[in-house]
Amino acid sequence: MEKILRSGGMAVTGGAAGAERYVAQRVGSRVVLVLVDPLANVLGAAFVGMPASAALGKQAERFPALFADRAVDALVLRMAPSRKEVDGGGLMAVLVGGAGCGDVPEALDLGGRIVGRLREELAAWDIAVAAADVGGPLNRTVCLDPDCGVRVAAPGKGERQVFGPLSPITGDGR
Amino acid sequence: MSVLKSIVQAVRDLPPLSASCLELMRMFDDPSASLTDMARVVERDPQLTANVLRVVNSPAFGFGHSFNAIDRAVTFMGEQRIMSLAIGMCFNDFYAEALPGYGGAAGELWSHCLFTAVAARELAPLSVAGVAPGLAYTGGMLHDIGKLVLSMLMVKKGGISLPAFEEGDVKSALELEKLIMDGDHCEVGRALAKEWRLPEALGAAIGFHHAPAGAPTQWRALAYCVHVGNLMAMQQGAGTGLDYMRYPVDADFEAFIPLDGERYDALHTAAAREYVQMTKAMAG
Repeated sequence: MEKILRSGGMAVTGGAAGAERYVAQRVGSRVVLVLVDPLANVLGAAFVGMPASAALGKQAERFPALFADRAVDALVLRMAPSRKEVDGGGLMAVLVGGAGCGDVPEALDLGGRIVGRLREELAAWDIAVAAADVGGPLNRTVCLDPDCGVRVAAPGKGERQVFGPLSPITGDGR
Repeated sequence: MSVLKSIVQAVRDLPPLSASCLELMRMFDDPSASLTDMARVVERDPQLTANVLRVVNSPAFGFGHSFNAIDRAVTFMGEQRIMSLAIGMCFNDFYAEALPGYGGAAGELWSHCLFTAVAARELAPLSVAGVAPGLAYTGGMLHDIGKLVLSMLMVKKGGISLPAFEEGDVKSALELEKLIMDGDHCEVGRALAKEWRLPEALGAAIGFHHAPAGAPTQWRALAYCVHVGNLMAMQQGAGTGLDYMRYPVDADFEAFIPLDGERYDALHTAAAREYVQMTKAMAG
Protein backbone atom coordinates (compact mmCIF):
# COMPACT_ATOMS: atom_id res chain seq x y z
CA MET A 1 0.00 0.00 0.00
CA GLU A 2 1.40 3.38 -1.02
CA LYS A 3 1.39 6.42 1.18
CA ILE A 4 1.41 9.92 -0.29
CA LEU A 5 4.27 12.23 0.63
CA ARG A 6 2.98 15.80 0.39
CA SER A 7 4.85 19.06 -0.05
CA GLY A 8 6.50 19.94 3.28
CA GLY A 9 6.14 16.35 4.51
CA MET A 10 8.75 13.87 5.76
CA ALA A 11 8.73 10.08 5.83
CA VAL A 12 11.05 7.32 7.06
CA THR A 13 10.77 3.76 5.81
CA GLY A 14 12.72 0.61 6.66
CA GLY A 15 14.65 -0.34 9.78
CA ALA A 16 12.75 0.06 13.03
CA ALA A 17 10.11 2.16 11.22
CA GLY A 18 8.99 -0.84 9.12
CA ALA A 19 8.98 -0.91 5.32
CA GLU A 20 6.35 1.13 3.53
CA ARG A 21 6.19 2.64 0.06
CA TYR A 22 5.90 6.43 -0.34
CA VAL A 23 4.97 8.40 -3.44
CA ALA A 24 5.48 12.12 -4.09
CA GLN A 25 3.37 13.15 -7.08
CA ARG A 26 3.96 15.93 -9.62
CA VAL A 27 7.05 17.27 -7.94
CA GLY A 28 7.60 20.03 -10.52
CA SER A 29 10.37 22.44 -9.49
CA ARG A 30 10.15 21.29 -5.91
CA VAL A 31 12.62 18.62 -4.80
CA VAL A 32 12.34 15.28 -3.07
CA LEU A 33 15.40 14.81 -0.87
CA VAL A 34 16.07 11.17 -0.03
CA LEU A 35 18.64 10.16 2.57
CA VAL A 36 19.75 6.53 2.43
CA ASP A 37 21.41 4.47 5.15
CA PRO A 38 22.37 1.30 3.23
CA LEU A 39 23.67 -0.52 6.31
CA ALA A 40 20.48 -0.02 8.32
CA ASN A 41 18.34 -0.38 5.13
CA VAL A 42 16.54 2.85 5.97
CA LEU A 43 15.34 5.58 3.61
CA GLY A 44 14.13 8.99 4.69
CA ALA A 45 12.47 11.53 2.41
CA ALA A 46 11.55 15.19 2.61
CA PHE A 47 9.40 16.99 0.00
CA VAL A 48 11.10 20.39 -0.21
CA GLY A 49 9.14 23.29 -1.74
CA MET A 50 11.17 26.41 -1.00
CA PRO A 51 14.87 27.33 -0.89
CA ALA A 52 14.84 29.27 2.41
CA SER A 53 12.66 29.77 5.45
CA ALA A 54 13.68 33.33 6.33
CA ALA A 55 10.59 34.98 4.81
CA LEU A 56 8.24 32.90 6.95
CA GLY A 57 9.92 33.48 10.32
CA LYS A 58 8.53 31.37 13.17
CA GLN A 59 5.86 29.80 10.95
CA ALA A 60 8.64 27.86 9.22
CA GLU A 61 9.31 25.87 12.39
CA ARG A 62 6.06 23.93 11.88
CA PHE A 63 7.13 22.57 8.49
CA PRO A 64 10.93 22.37 8.44
CA ALA A 65 10.92 19.87 5.56
CA LEU A 66 9.35 22.48 3.30
CA PHE A 67 12.54 24.55 3.30
CA ALA A 68 15.90 23.56 1.83
CA ASP A 69 17.79 25.36 4.60
CA ARG A 70 16.09 23.23 7.30
CA ALA A 71 15.13 19.98 5.59
CA VAL A 72 18.47 18.12 5.91
CA ASP A 73 18.72 18.80 9.66
CA ALA A 74 15.09 17.81 10.18
CA LEU A 75 15.35 14.61 8.14
CA VAL A 76 18.57 13.41 9.82
CA LEU A 77 16.84 13.89 13.18
CA ARG A 78 13.68 12.14 12.01
CA MET A 79 15.69 9.14 10.81
CA ALA A 80 17.71 8.80 14.01
CA PRO A 81 15.39 6.36 15.87
CA SER A 82 15.21 4.00 12.88
CA ARG A 83 18.96 4.14 12.23
CA LYS A 84 19.96 4.22 15.90
CA GLU A 85 22.36 7.01 14.83
CA VAL A 86 21.98 10.72 15.45
CA ASP A 87 24.55 12.06 12.99
CA GLY A 88 24.95 12.00 9.21
CA GLY A 89 27.66 9.32 9.17
CA GLY A 90 27.00 6.57 6.65
CA LEU A 91 24.24 8.49 4.87
CA MET A 92 23.99 9.13 1.14
CA ALA A 93 21.62 11.55 -0.59
CA VAL A 94 19.43 11.31 -3.67
CA LEU A 95 17.85 14.42 -5.18
CA VAL A 96 14.86 14.31 -7.54
CA GLY A 97 12.86 17.17 -9.08
CA GLY A 98 13.86 20.80 -9.51
CA ALA A 99 12.26 21.06 -12.96
CA GLY A 100 13.05 24.17 -14.95
CA CYS A 101 12.50 25.72 -18.35
CA GLY A 102 16.05 26.63 -19.20
CA ASP A 103 17.16 30.22 -19.33
CA VAL A 104 15.33 32.01 -16.49
CA PRO A 105 16.43 34.85 -14.22
CA GLU A 106 17.84 33.49 -10.94
CA ALA A 107 14.97 34.90 -8.84
CA LEU A 108 12.48 32.82 -10.82
CA ASP A 109 14.63 29.68 -10.92
CA LEU A 110 12.87 27.99 -8.01
CA GLY A 111 14.16 24.48 -8.74
CA GLY A 112 17.77 25.58 -9.26
CA ARG A 113 17.77 27.53 -6.01
CA ILE A 114 16.27 24.63 -4.01
CA VAL A 115 18.79 22.13 -5.43
CA GLY A 116 21.68 24.55 -4.83
CA ARG A 117 20.70 25.14 -1.22
CA LEU A 118 20.20 21.43 -0.53
CA ARG A 119 23.65 20.63 -1.93
CA GLU A 120 25.16 23.25 0.42
CA GLU A 121 23.37 21.82 3.44
CA LEU A 122 24.34 18.25 2.52
CA ALA A 123 27.97 19.31 2.15
CA ALA A 124 27.83 20.86 5.62
CA TRP A 125 26.74 17.44 6.95
CA ASP A 126 29.39 15.71 4.84
CA ILE A 127 26.69 13.70 3.08
CA ALA A 128 27.57 12.80 -0.52
CA VAL A 129 24.97 13.05 -3.29
CA ALA A 130 24.93 9.51 -4.69
CA ALA A 131 22.35 10.17 -7.42
CA ALA A 132 20.50 13.14 -8.79
CA ASP A 133 17.70 13.35 -11.33
CA VAL A 134 17.10 17.09 -11.40
CA GLY A 135 16.28 19.94 -13.77
CA GLY A 136 14.84 19.93 -17.26
CA PRO A 137 11.19 20.09 -18.35
CA LEU A 138 9.96 16.99 -16.45
CA ASN A 139 7.12 16.87 -13.95
CA ARG A 140 8.40 13.90 -11.96
CA THR A 141 6.62 11.49 -9.63
CA VAL A 142 8.92 9.80 -7.11
CA CYS A 143 8.40 6.41 -5.49
CA LEU A 144 10.59 5.01 -2.73
CA ASP A 145 10.84 2.01 -0.45
CA PRO A 146 13.72 -0.05 0.95
CA ASP A 147 13.21 -2.95 -1.47
CA CYS A 148 13.00 -0.93 -4.68
CA GLY A 149 15.10 2.08 -3.78
CA VAL A 150 14.13 5.30 -5.56
CA ARG A 151 12.15 5.18 -8.81
CA VAL A 152 11.08 8.16 -10.90
CA ALA A 153 8.30 8.48 -13.49
CA ALA A 154 7.40 11.42 -15.72
CA PRO A 155 4.74 11.93 -18.42
CA GLY A 156 6.02 10.50 -21.70
CA LYS A 157 9.12 9.02 -20.06
CA GLY A 158 7.84 5.96 -18.20
CA GLU A 159 9.38 4.84 -14.91
CA ARG A 160 13.04 4.25 -14.19
CA GLN A 161 15.36 3.43 -11.33
CA VAL A 162 17.38 6.34 -10.04
CA PHE A 163 18.86 4.69 -6.98
CA GLY A 164 18.85 1.12 -5.76
CA PRO A 165 20.30 0.20 -2.36
CA LEU A 166 23.00 -2.03 -3.80
CA SER A 167 23.75 -0.41 -7.18
CA PRO A 168 23.53 3.36 -7.15
CA ILE A 169 23.23 5.00 -10.55
CA THR A 170 24.77 8.44 -10.74
CA GLY A 171 24.27 11.19 -13.28
CA ASP A 172 22.09 14.12 -13.94
CA GLY A 173 19.44 12.01 -15.69
CA ARG A 174 17.69 14.61 -17.80
CA MET B 1 -11.85 21.55 -44.17
CA SER B 2 -8.79 23.81 -43.66
CA VAL B 3 -7.05 23.90 -40.28
CA LEU B 4 -8.22 27.46 -39.71
CA LYS B 5 -11.82 26.56 -40.52
CA SER B 6 -11.60 23.53 -38.21
CA ILE B 7 -10.40 25.76 -35.38
CA VAL B 8 -13.14 28.33 -35.96
CA GLN B 9 -15.77 25.58 -36.07
CA ALA B 10 -14.40 23.92 -32.90
CA VAL B 11 -14.49 27.27 -31.08
CA ARG B 12 -18.16 27.63 -32.03
CA ASP B 13 -18.93 24.04 -31.03
CA LEU B 14 -17.60 24.45 -27.49
CA PRO B 15 -20.41 24.30 -24.89
CA PRO B 16 -21.45 27.82 -23.86
CA LEU B 17 -20.45 29.30 -20.52
CA SER B 18 -23.34 30.23 -18.25
CA ALA B 19 -24.80 33.73 -18.60
CA SER B 20 -23.76 34.53 -15.00
CA CYS B 21 -20.17 33.54 -15.67
CA LEU B 22 -19.96 35.70 -18.80
CA GLU B 23 -21.56 38.61 -16.98
CA LEU B 24 -19.08 38.30 -14.08
CA MET B 25 -16.09 38.23 -16.40
CA ARG B 26 -17.34 41.27 -18.31
CA MET B 27 -17.86 43.15 -15.03
CA PHE B 28 -14.21 42.66 -14.00
CA ASP B 29 -13.28 45.11 -16.74
CA ASP B 30 -16.12 47.58 -16.12
CA PRO B 31 -14.96 50.42 -13.87
CA SER B 32 -18.56 51.25 -12.98
CA ALA B 33 -19.24 47.72 -11.67
CA SER B 34 -18.54 47.20 -7.97
CA LEU B 35 -17.82 43.91 -6.26
CA THR B 36 -21.24 44.29 -4.63
CA ASP B 37 -22.81 44.36 -8.12
CA MET B 38 -20.93 41.15 -8.89
CA ALA B 39 -22.25 39.52 -5.71
CA ARG B 40 -25.76 40.33 -6.97
CA VAL B 41 -25.01 38.46 -10.22
CA VAL B 42 -24.00 35.39 -8.20
CA GLU B 43 -27.15 35.66 -6.07
CA ARG B 44 -29.36 35.71 -9.17
CA ASP B 45 -27.98 32.33 -10.27
CA PRO B 46 -29.32 29.67 -7.87
CA GLN B 47 -26.91 26.96 -9.04
CA LEU B 48 -23.87 29.21 -8.78
CA THR B 49 -25.01 30.49 -5.38
CA ALA B 50 -25.49 26.93 -4.11
CA ASN B 51 -22.05 25.91 -5.39
CA VAL B 52 -20.31 28.92 -3.85
CA LEU B 53 -22.05 28.43 -0.50
CA ARG B 54 -21.15 24.73 -0.50
CA VAL B 55 -17.49 25.64 -0.93
CA VAL B 56 -17.56 28.49 1.61
CA ASN B 57 -19.18 26.17 4.16
CA SER B 58 -16.63 23.40 3.67
CA PRO B 59 -14.39 22.50 6.64
CA ALA B 60 -11.37 23.65 4.60
CA PHE B 61 -12.26 27.27 5.40
CA GLY B 62 -13.07 26.41 9.01
CA PHE B 63 -15.46 29.25 9.87
CA GLY B 64 -17.22 27.12 12.48
CA HIS B 65 -20.72 28.05 11.31
CA SER B 66 -22.54 27.87 8.00
CA PHE B 67 -23.52 30.69 5.67
CA ASN B 68 -26.85 30.59 3.85
CA ALA B 69 -26.48 33.77 1.82
CA ILE B 70 -23.77 35.26 -0.39
CA ASP B 71 -23.79 38.65 1.36
CA ARG B 72 -23.11 36.99 4.74
CA ALA B 73 -20.24 35.00 3.25
CA VAL B 74 -18.83 38.21 1.73
CA THR B 75 -18.75 39.79 5.19
CA PHE B 76 -16.49 37.04 6.50
CA MET B 77 -14.37 36.16 3.47
CA GLY B 78 -14.25 39.45 1.58
CA GLU B 79 -15.70 40.25 -1.81
CA GLN B 80 -12.51 39.50 -3.69
CA ARG B 81 -12.28 35.92 -2.41
CA ILE B 82 -15.96 35.20 -2.93
CA MET B 83 -15.77 36.47 -6.51
CA SER B 84 -12.67 34.35 -7.11
CA LEU B 85 -14.58 31.33 -5.86
CA ALA B 86 -17.54 32.14 -8.09
CA ILE B 87 -15.33 32.43 -11.19
CA GLY B 88 -13.53 29.24 -10.19
CA MET B 89 -16.84 27.37 -9.82
CA CYS B 90 -17.94 28.53 -13.29
CA PHE B 91 -15.00 26.62 -14.80
CA ASN B 92 -15.12 23.59 -12.52
CA ASP B 93 -17.04 21.44 -15.02
CA PHE B 94 -15.77 23.22 -18.10
CA TYR B 95 -12.15 22.26 -17.33
CA ALA B 96 -12.85 18.75 -16.05
CA GLU B 97 -12.05 17.01 -19.35
CA ALA B 98 -8.69 15.45 -20.17
CA LEU B 99 -6.42 17.08 -22.77
CA PRO B 100 -5.55 14.10 -24.99
CA GLY B 101 -3.76 16.28 -27.55
CA TYR B 102 -1.32 17.33 -24.83
CA GLY B 103 -1.19 14.02 -22.92
CA GLY B 104 -2.92 15.79 -20.02
CA ALA B 105 -5.11 13.80 -17.60
CA ALA B 106 -8.62 14.80 -16.53
CA GLY B 107 -8.51 17.62 -14.00
CA GLU B 108 -5.01 18.82 -14.90
CA LEU B 109 -6.26 21.85 -16.85
CA TRP B 110 -8.45 22.80 -13.91
CA SER B 111 -5.57 22.53 -11.39
CA HIS B 112 -3.19 24.41 -13.66
CA CYS B 113 -5.60 27.29 -14.37
CA LEU B 114 -6.67 27.59 -10.73
CA PHE B 115 -3.05 27.83 -9.52
CA THR B 116 -2.19 30.31 -12.28
CA ALA B 117 -5.22 32.41 -11.30
CA VAL B 118 -4.32 32.45 -7.61
CA ALA B 119 -0.67 33.26 -8.39
CA ALA B 120 -1.59 36.04 -10.86
CA ARG B 121 -3.84 37.58 -8.21
CA GLU B 122 -0.95 37.52 -5.70
CA LEU B 123 1.34 39.15 -8.29
CA ALA B 124 -1.12 41.90 -9.27
CA PRO B 125 -0.56 44.23 -6.26
CA LEU B 126 3.20 44.17 -6.97
CA SER B 127 2.75 45.29 -10.56
CA VAL B 128 4.08 48.78 -11.25
CA ALA B 129 1.06 49.45 -13.47
CA GLY B 130 -1.55 48.61 -10.84
CA VAL B 131 -3.33 45.54 -12.17
CA ALA B 132 -6.72 44.78 -10.58
CA PRO B 133 -6.34 41.49 -8.63
CA GLY B 134 -9.75 40.21 -9.78
CA LEU B 135 -8.86 40.80 -13.42
CA ALA B 136 -5.51 39.01 -12.96
CA TYR B 137 -7.31 36.08 -11.32
CA THR B 138 -9.83 35.82 -14.14
CA GLY B 139 -7.09 36.14 -16.76
CA GLY B 140 -5.23 33.30 -15.04
CA MET B 141 -8.37 31.16 -14.92
CA LEU B 142 -8.91 31.64 -18.67
CA HIS B 143 -5.35 31.79 -20.01
CA ASP B 144 -5.19 28.21 -21.38
CA ILE B 145 -8.79 27.96 -22.56
CA GLY B 146 -7.53 27.62 -26.14
CA LYS B 147 -6.07 24.23 -25.18
CA LEU B 148 -9.59 22.82 -24.81
CA VAL B 149 -10.17 23.40 -28.52
CA LEU B 150 -6.66 22.70 -29.79
CA SER B 151 -6.38 19.44 -27.84
CA MET B 152 -9.41 17.98 -29.64
CA LEU B 153 -8.01 18.94 -33.04
CA MET B 154 -4.38 17.99 -32.34
CA VAL B 155 -5.27 14.50 -31.18
CA LYS B 156 -6.41 13.74 -34.74
CA LYS B 157 -2.85 14.56 -35.86
CA GLY B 158 -1.12 12.53 -33.17
CA GLY B 159 -0.92 15.29 -30.58
CA ILE B 160 2.16 16.54 -28.76
CA SER B 161 4.91 14.04 -28.03
CA LEU B 162 8.23 14.28 -26.22
CA PRO B 163 10.24 13.03 -29.25
CA ALA B 164 8.81 15.92 -31.25
CA PHE B 165 10.43 18.31 -28.74
CA GLU B 166 13.63 16.36 -28.28
CA GLU B 167 14.34 15.33 -31.87
CA GLY B 168 12.80 18.30 -33.65
CA ASP B 169 14.81 20.95 -31.76
CA VAL B 170 11.56 22.68 -30.85
CA LYS B 171 12.05 25.17 -28.03
CA SER B 172 8.50 25.87 -26.91
CA ALA B 173 5.06 24.30 -26.79
CA LEU B 174 3.74 27.12 -28.98
CA GLU B 175 6.26 26.31 -31.73
CA LEU B 176 5.17 22.67 -31.71
CA GLU B 177 1.47 23.59 -31.77
CA LYS B 178 2.11 25.78 -34.81
CA LEU B 179 4.00 22.97 -36.54
CA ILE B 180 1.15 20.53 -35.90
CA MET B 181 -1.87 22.80 -36.32
CA ASP B 182 -0.70 25.99 -38.00
CA GLY B 183 -2.04 27.83 -34.95
CA ASP B 184 -1.40 27.93 -31.20
CA HIS B 185 -3.56 27.86 -28.08
CA CYS B 186 -3.03 31.60 -27.46
CA GLU B 187 -4.51 32.49 -30.85
CA VAL B 188 -7.35 30.01 -30.39
CA GLY B 189 -8.01 31.38 -26.88
CA ARG B 190 -8.24 34.92 -28.23
CA ALA B 191 -10.71 33.74 -30.86
CA LEU B 192 -12.80 32.19 -28.08
CA ALA B 193 -12.66 35.41 -26.05
CA LYS B 194 -13.91 37.27 -29.11
CA GLU B 195 -16.66 34.72 -29.72
CA TRP B 196 -17.82 35.14 -26.11
CA ARG B 197 -17.44 38.94 -26.29
CA LEU B 198 -15.15 39.00 -23.27
CA PRO B 199 -13.44 42.27 -22.34
CA GLU B 200 -10.36 43.22 -24.34
CA ALA B 201 -8.22 42.89 -21.20
CA LEU B 202 -9.05 39.20 -20.86
CA GLY B 203 -8.45 38.64 -24.58
CA ALA B 204 -4.99 40.16 -24.09
CA ALA B 205 -4.25 38.04 -21.00
CA ILE B 206 -5.21 34.90 -22.94
CA GLY B 207 -3.55 35.87 -26.22
CA PHE B 208 -0.25 37.13 -24.81
CA HIS B 209 0.45 35.02 -21.73
CA HIS B 210 3.38 33.35 -23.51
CA ALA B 211 4.69 36.60 -25.04
CA PRO B 212 3.53 39.42 -22.75
CA ALA B 213 5.78 42.02 -24.40
CA GLY B 214 3.47 41.88 -27.42
CA ALA B 215 0.31 42.71 -25.48
CA PRO B 216 -1.35 46.11 -26.05
CA THR B 217 0.30 48.67 -23.75
CA GLN B 218 -2.64 49.07 -21.38
CA TRP B 219 -2.86 45.30 -20.78
CA ARG B 220 0.84 44.46 -20.81
CA ALA B 221 1.25 44.39 -17.01
CA LEU B 222 -1.78 42.09 -16.77
CA ALA B 223 -0.23 39.78 -19.39
CA TYR B 224 3.02 39.69 -17.34
CA CYS B 225 1.08 38.76 -14.17
CA VAL B 226 -0.48 35.79 -16.00
CA HIS B 227 2.88 34.96 -17.68
CA VAL B 228 4.68 34.66 -14.32
CA GLY B 229 1.64 33.06 -12.63
CA ASN B 230 1.68 30.37 -15.34
CA LEU B 231 5.35 29.63 -14.54
CA MET B 232 4.57 29.44 -10.81
CA ALA B 233 1.79 26.89 -11.46
CA MET B 234 4.14 24.64 -13.43
CA GLN B 235 6.84 24.98 -10.79
CA GLN B 236 4.35 23.71 -8.20
CA GLY B 237 3.75 20.65 -10.39
CA ALA B 238 0.44 21.85 -11.84
CA GLY B 239 1.05 21.32 -15.56
CA THR B 240 -1.18 20.31 -18.46
CA GLY B 241 0.73 17.34 -19.87
CA LEU B 242 3.68 16.87 -22.21
CA ASP B 243 4.13 20.60 -22.88
CA TYR B 244 5.30 20.96 -19.26
CA MET B 245 7.94 23.70 -18.85
CA ARG B 246 8.39 24.16 -22.62
CA TYR B 247 7.98 27.80 -21.78
CA PRO B 248 10.50 30.57 -22.51
CA VAL B 249 10.31 33.16 -19.73
CA ASP B 250 10.33 36.82 -20.72
CA ALA B 251 13.19 38.36 -18.73
CA ASP B 252 11.60 41.83 -19.00
CA PHE B 253 9.06 40.83 -16.35
CA GLU B 254 11.03 42.86 -13.77
CA ALA B 255 10.09 46.12 -15.50
CA PHE B 256 6.45 45.27 -14.75
CA ILE B 257 6.66 43.17 -11.57
CA PRO B 258 9.78 43.89 -9.49
CA LEU B 259 10.66 40.57 -7.84
CA ASP B 260 13.67 39.20 -6.00
CA GLY B 261 14.08 35.59 -4.92
CA GLU B 262 12.78 36.14 -1.39
CA ARG B 263 9.66 37.95 -2.60
CA TYR B 264 9.07 35.30 -5.24
CA ASP B 265 9.30 32.52 -2.65
CA ALA B 266 6.86 34.32 -0.34
CA LEU B 267 4.40 34.65 -3.24
CA HIS B 268 4.77 30.95 -4.01
CA THR B 269 4.05 30.06 -0.39
CA ALA B 270 0.97 32.30 -0.23
CA ALA B 271 -0.37 31.07 -3.58
CA ALA B 272 0.22 27.40 -2.70
CA ARG B 273 -1.61 27.81 0.61
CA GLU B 274 -4.61 29.48 -1.06
CA TYR B 275 -4.63 26.90 -3.87
CA VAL B 276 -4.66 23.96 -1.44
CA GLN B 277 -7.46 25.55 0.59
CA MET B 278 -9.57 26.21 -2.51
CA THR B 279 -9.08 22.74 -4.00
CA LYS B 280 -9.92 21.07 -0.69
CA ALA B 281 -13.03 23.21 -0.31
CA MET B 282 -14.18 22.63 -3.89
CA ALA B 283 -13.67 18.87 -3.51
CA GLY B 284 -16.14 19.05 -0.62
